[in-house]
Amino acid sequence: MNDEAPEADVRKATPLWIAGSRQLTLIAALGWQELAAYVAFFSAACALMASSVHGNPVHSYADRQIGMHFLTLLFAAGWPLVVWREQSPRQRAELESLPVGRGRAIGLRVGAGLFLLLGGWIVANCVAFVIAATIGRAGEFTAVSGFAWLACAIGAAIVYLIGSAIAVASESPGRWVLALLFLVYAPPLMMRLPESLTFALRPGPRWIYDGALGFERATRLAVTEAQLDTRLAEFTPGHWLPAGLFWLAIAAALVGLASRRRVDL
Amino acid sequence: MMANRIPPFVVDRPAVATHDLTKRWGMQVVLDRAEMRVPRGAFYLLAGANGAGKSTLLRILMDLVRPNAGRADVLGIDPQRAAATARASIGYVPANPSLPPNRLALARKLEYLAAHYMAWDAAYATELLQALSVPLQRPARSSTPSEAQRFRWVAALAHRPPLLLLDEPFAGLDDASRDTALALLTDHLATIDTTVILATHDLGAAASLADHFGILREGRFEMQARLDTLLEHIHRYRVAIDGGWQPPSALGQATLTRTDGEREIEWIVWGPQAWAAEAFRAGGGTVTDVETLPAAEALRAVLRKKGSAG
Repeated sequence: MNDEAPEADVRKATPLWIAGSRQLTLIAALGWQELAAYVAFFSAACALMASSVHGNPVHSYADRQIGMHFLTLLFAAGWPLVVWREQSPRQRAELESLPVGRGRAIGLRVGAGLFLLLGGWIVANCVAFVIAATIGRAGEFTAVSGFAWLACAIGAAIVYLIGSAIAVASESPGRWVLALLFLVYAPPLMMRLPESLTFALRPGPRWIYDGALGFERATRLAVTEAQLDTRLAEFTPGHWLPAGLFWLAIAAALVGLASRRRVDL
Repeated sequence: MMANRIPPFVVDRPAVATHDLTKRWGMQVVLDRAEMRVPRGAFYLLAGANGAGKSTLLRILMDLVRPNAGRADVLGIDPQRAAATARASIGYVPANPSLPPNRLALARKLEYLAAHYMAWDAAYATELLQALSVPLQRPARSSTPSEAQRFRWVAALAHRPPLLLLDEPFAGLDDASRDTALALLTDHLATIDTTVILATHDLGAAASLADHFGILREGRFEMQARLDTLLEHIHRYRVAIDGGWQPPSALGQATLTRTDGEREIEWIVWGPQAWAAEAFRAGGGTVTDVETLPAAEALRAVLRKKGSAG
């Protein structure tokens, strides 16, 4: 600790709300095209789906739309790569030269990316609602449990945060591949792995993936049920909330751990 | 040799100080218990060859690099403990200041940086931008190294910081831009009570502004002093010689450079003038001219001679 007090003309560090808002505008400026592409693709898919269910009372449009959130999970896994584009740990001299604490700067950028991701998700769903309204099925949206919608949002947040931890900590361009592999192969691998380890880890290693606190339940339960054409009106927090909060905490902790990795610049 | 020593300056309350600062990159020791003292309000020229550890030292002051041992003190703040507060008071021009290769226009980029500094002076920033001809509409990824360097100058000065860390700030600038940057720096120093640490191996541009210097060699401070004290101790001697001339052994270590002719020699010697003149006379020469060196040339002479510092 320094013996002397700071000099009188020492300036104040950037207030967090300013630093956060600037990270938000920066990511929006750098990633709006990708975000717009996601919203457009999601909307186009919803429009196609609307045409397929039009006049068919058997299928719930809203359930199917929640099934469409698989697209959101895909985007959420890739979005950290946009947020941290050209900002590998060795390319962060500018970010880390700002009068903001290093960990806070990283956390604010991750948070700003999450805010925009969920903002894009809300916009995409608003567009989908308008599409539903045009085919006379807007009422199905209100019939779906709010927890089903929340599950989609939290699921996307979990995937995004895990992807962010990879992007924050990883140096090589291979992180892109790693993140994509994570998304594409992790679910089946995580399904297989518990099976292969069942003998060694009894009882119940499958919880990692599809147990009460499983990753599958946390991120994709609503999607899976929608794909099975299960009406989501009865989707309750008990189905999903513990797993969602558990994995959200793990994902946030991973980001925290990743941000502690320090590279000399 | 006592005659060759120059007195270190005494600093009661340095703007920047380092204590036993050590940094290793793998097996290579970049800084070896470096002890720097920069007085408040000084223009401190941090000189050294490429690889001497200058950039690493400045990055440690910014907390972009963590030392293996020792600590730094920046305006009374330990940057390892309160980096954000320290950085708020620092204007930093990094070496090789490439900009992140994204599509953000430099104007937007400057807005982004400006928002982080509570003391950002927008009117002053506009003056700096115009003076340095920064192309604001150009995307960062299309900017040239010179444009990036000029942009960094603006970003460093526009919040009128009490401490400037300039790491090879003229690299990549053409002569006109370098002169403009120097003029802006001079104006800045005239209006703000600023401490400057300028690290460079190119001493020509900034030596005229400096009042203190430090020579970093292989990670250690070989010398730190006031520049005027250095200039009092280094002179160029022109000495008429004849057949009886014997190079005086007393001047051996004190001779920084030598140009020998048949009838005249021209040596730059470190040490008191009377002592050197007497040594020349003892060798059979006649001192015909003694010249005080310009600051840049004096520093170059010291830099070239390893172990010249007392």
